[in-house]
Amino acid sequence: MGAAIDTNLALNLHDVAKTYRTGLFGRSQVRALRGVEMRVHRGEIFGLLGPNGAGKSTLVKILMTVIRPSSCKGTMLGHPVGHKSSLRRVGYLPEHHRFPEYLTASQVLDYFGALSDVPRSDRKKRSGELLDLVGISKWADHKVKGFSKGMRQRLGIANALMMDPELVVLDEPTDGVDPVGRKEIREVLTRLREQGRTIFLNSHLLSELEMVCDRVAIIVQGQVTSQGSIEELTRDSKRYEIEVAPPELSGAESPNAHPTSFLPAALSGIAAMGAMPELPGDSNAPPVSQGSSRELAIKGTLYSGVPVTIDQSGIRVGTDDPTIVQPILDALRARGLVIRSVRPVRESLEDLFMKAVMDPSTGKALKPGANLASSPELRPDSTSPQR
Amino acid sequence: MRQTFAIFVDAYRELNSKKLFWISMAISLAVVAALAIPTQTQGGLSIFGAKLENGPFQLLGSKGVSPAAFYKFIYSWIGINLWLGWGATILALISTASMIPDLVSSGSIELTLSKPLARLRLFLTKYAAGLVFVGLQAGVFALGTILVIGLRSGTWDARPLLVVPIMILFFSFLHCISVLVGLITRSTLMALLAVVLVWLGIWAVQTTEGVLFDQRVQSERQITRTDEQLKALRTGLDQFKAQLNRLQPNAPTTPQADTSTPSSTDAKPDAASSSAPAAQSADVSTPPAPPAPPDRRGNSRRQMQRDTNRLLENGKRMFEAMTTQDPEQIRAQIRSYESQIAAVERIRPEQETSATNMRRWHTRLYVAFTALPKTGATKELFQRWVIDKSDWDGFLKVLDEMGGGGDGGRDTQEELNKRPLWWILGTSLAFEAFILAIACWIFCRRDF
Repeated sequence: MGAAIDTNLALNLHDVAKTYRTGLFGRSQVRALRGVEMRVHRGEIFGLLGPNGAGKSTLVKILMTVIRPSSCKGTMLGHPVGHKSSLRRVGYLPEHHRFPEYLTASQVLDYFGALSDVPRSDRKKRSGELLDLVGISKWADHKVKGFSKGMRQRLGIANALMMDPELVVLDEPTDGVDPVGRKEIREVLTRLREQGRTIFLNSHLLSELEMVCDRVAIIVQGQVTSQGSIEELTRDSKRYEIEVAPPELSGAESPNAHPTSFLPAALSGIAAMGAMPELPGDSNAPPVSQGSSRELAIKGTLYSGVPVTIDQSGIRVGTDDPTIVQPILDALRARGLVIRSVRPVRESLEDLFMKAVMDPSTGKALKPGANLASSPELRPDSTSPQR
Repeated sequence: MRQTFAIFVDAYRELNSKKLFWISMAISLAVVAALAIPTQTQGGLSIFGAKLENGPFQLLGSKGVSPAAFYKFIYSWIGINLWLGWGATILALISTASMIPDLVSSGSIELTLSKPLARLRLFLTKYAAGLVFVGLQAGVFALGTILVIGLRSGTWDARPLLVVPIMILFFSFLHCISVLVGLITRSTLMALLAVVLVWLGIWAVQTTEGVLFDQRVQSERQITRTDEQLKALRTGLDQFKAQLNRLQPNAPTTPQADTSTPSSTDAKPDAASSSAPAAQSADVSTPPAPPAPPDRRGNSRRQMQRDTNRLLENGKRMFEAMTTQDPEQIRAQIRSYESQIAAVERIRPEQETSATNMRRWHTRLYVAFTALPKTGATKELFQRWVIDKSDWDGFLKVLDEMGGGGDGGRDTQEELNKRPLWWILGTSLAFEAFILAIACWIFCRRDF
């Protein structure tokens, strides 16, 4: 018995695995994907992130039947992955795509539209519309051979939309496109979402993904380590950062005074702060040398239960509730300290990504791929939201 | 159907973008036009008033073949065998060698495989689209041939259109190699190199098989002829012995050795020596000469004709000798016949050994050739299907008159023409199917 098909999901992937056999007689094996679990809702823009060699392209190629999976229990638009007919409703822009150079832009759309089984009348109609949409309509009758990389990319996006797809899979859609073009592409994607289409984006440009994606998944060494909306993924990182000017000492400001030297006392009435960590050498001296005290931080808890940290940048309050911050500000003012800024902060997608791709034990980026014989099993981040 | 049509249209667009396609097309038209220039005369042909009526040109004179057949012959020999069979095929191989490497190249294959089209169907359609080049070339050539034959001879015959399927089949036997190697290596150069090497290999095997087959046919015919001659000699000997018995019932039928007549050991197995006994007794009553023993080499049709004439002459002389009443003359004939029989019996085992060896080697090569595509025989199907039997007979008649029909190649050609269609096309298509099956399996299983 297969699992019930959720019609709200454009993609519902379970246990997607792919092992490549390499070397003489396929003796060596590389596990590119190791049981990917992923769900993409209809009508959303979903971003797939991951470092080079993480298995993103392999996953996309499996969806598009370019690669045969070692195992795959998922569905795409309600059909098992690999079901050829369902590809009639899926548009695809491969990374580094190469259109036949002897064709014109119109002929490219006509040819690949016909391969997608789009009727001739629809092809003629949509061809002009799409070339206009991506801004190359005046190049419709020019051969692809003379196109720039950006123009080819725009043509690729038009081609992905030719069959009026329900799901659009775009692999690095803004690759080689200038900033104006990128903005236009983002607008196209937003418009497609408004039309109810699902967009599956694979890109390295985290800032762009952050701007348009409803949900993202981060894939590292063939496994999804985190998945959810950016809001969900960064909820725990939401905080207020309060920057405080150091107190004046003997009439002159001491610009290098470390916050840990004067802020714990200011907060003593509203929080239970931890002890001052010891520095190597002179343990009694306040940390004034920036180089040696960069990592220095004192952790504590407000009496309301909210965690608070004092470090080089000031006070970090682990909440997104502004009312909780007010007593801290009052205490600082009562001490006569000057508050330079109060900012609500949350982690960027880049922070999230970097956290996911770093090996916590070594502090270095994880290597791409994973050899079957030698790679340690990666443990998915169980605390990350996955729905 | 929409997808299949799109792939064929794309194949045409790709060819259309290549200069080689149009160069090839222009040469095809030029060949068609050039072959329309010769005019048939009674004794051969004339080109711009210059008469060519000697040597092989005589074969094409109007006394042998019809005007329509005249053009069919020259279109077949020059247009198909030389131009379409070699020149255009090489250009087609160059033009189409990149089709599969381009299809499976990174960035291109993703665009195609992500379409709602089964891999097998995609691959086979793409393969078939690769045959468009030759199809169009042959189509233009066939239409030109029909036009020229119709205008020059007044006979409108649509059969030259058969060159289209023939050339497509011929080209497909090579194209499958190009496709398989192109798929495995993803290299146009390797695909081209491989197909040229295989083509040369096929040509070498085909030629060697043809030579061995010719030798085999000739050696077997030689044995048959030797047996016939032995039979004739023995019959003659028996008749002389019977006649001697009638004249001298008590005389021994085996004559005593006579130094004046050639002994069996002196007899030489050639026509010159065999006529000696007849010459010796010619002054008595012109006794018949026994049939000349065959030589070791394969005899030709012309020699067979000479043999037949000699046998008739000898029969006449034998009749005269058998009516003579001179016992000595009869004994001389008996001695002559016995020596000839001995000579022929001596070379018979050699011929048998030679034929057995030839048969063995040819059989081995035939088996190897059976597994390969019959490119040459496929091209020759045009002659078999398009040129009428009456025209062939007229052609051969002129060949005989020229004395050129004695070549053993004609016997061999007749035997080759007996090879069934299923063997020529069936085994070739089986080869193609095998190569394609491997290619399809790779294409359907590979991760791109």
